[in-house]
Amino acid sequence: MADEVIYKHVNAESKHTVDFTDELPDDSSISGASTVTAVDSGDTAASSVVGTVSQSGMSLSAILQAGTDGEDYLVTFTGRGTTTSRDAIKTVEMRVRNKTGVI
Amino acid sequence: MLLGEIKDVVRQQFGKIGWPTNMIDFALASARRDIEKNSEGGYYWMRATKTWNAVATQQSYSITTSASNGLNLPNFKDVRAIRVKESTSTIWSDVSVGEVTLEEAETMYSTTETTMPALAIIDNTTLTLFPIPDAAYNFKMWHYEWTTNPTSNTATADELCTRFPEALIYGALVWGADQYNHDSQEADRWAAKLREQRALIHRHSLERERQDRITLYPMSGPYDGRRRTSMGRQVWV
Repeated sequence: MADEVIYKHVNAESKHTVDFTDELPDDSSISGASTVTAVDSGDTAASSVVGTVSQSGMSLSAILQAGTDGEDYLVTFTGRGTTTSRDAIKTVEMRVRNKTGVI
Repeated sequence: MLLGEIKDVVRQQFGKIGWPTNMIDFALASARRDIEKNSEGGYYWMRATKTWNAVATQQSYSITTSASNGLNLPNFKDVRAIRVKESTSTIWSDVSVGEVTLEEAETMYSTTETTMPALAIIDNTTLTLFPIPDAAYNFKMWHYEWTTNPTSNTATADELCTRFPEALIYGALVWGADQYNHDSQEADRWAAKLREQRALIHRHSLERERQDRITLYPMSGPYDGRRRTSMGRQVWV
């Protein structure tokens, strides 16, 4: 299951940040090889919902954007430790809904 | 409704983030299986056809795999009818199916008899033809297949999602209440609602079956001399 669930409007763009401090205790930063990818509910790659990706220390950030109303996207943040080259993964389920209310 | 909308309705019962999506996928898959398991034979959206060619001297064919000229129908549920014709013919002939068992059929035909098959036996996942085909006859089978939920939230072409979404919702809630929340009283409540939906589906499917019924008249007579089979005895034509 996803580590986190977020709802967003199709037209909304938000910066989402994941911290890997607990998962990569032997690293002090994550490298540029860290990635953010997304698939839709049919497990098809959906790169268009991931905008600019950046790293800072142990945090990996991505702009989550666009999408199709009614779709659920599984966004995978993969942080690679600069020292250990170990990969840690956290997932965010992004549900794109134009008419959803508060949870 | 779209599958994504159905998921949202199910989620709403347990809190929007209270129930993981993969669990909802399991629940909806269970709901569909539950609905289709309770069909007698199958519902109209489960209808399918398959054409294939027999192989000379090959008597048995896997239904669910493609191994050894198999039919490769992994979701096969039940047969409705089978027809056969010579590859140069334009007229289909009836193949008797579902009337005798394999053990009965083996006493009706010799182990070496070859001609155009007149009898098909479905035994577990194997289709066996009697007599053994002596040429690459064309076959066509009308059957029911188990179906699966659309993979995408936004797919639009699924009959169960479109016409009977409530059945999927109630079925998923039965699964969720029982298997995930361990609340049998709540599961019973949704099961009662699911039964109502099943009755509606059953009634509608019966109406469709009656209206869409295809009557096929097998060619027979002096130009099609071959043995036919009826229940319990052999008929020589």
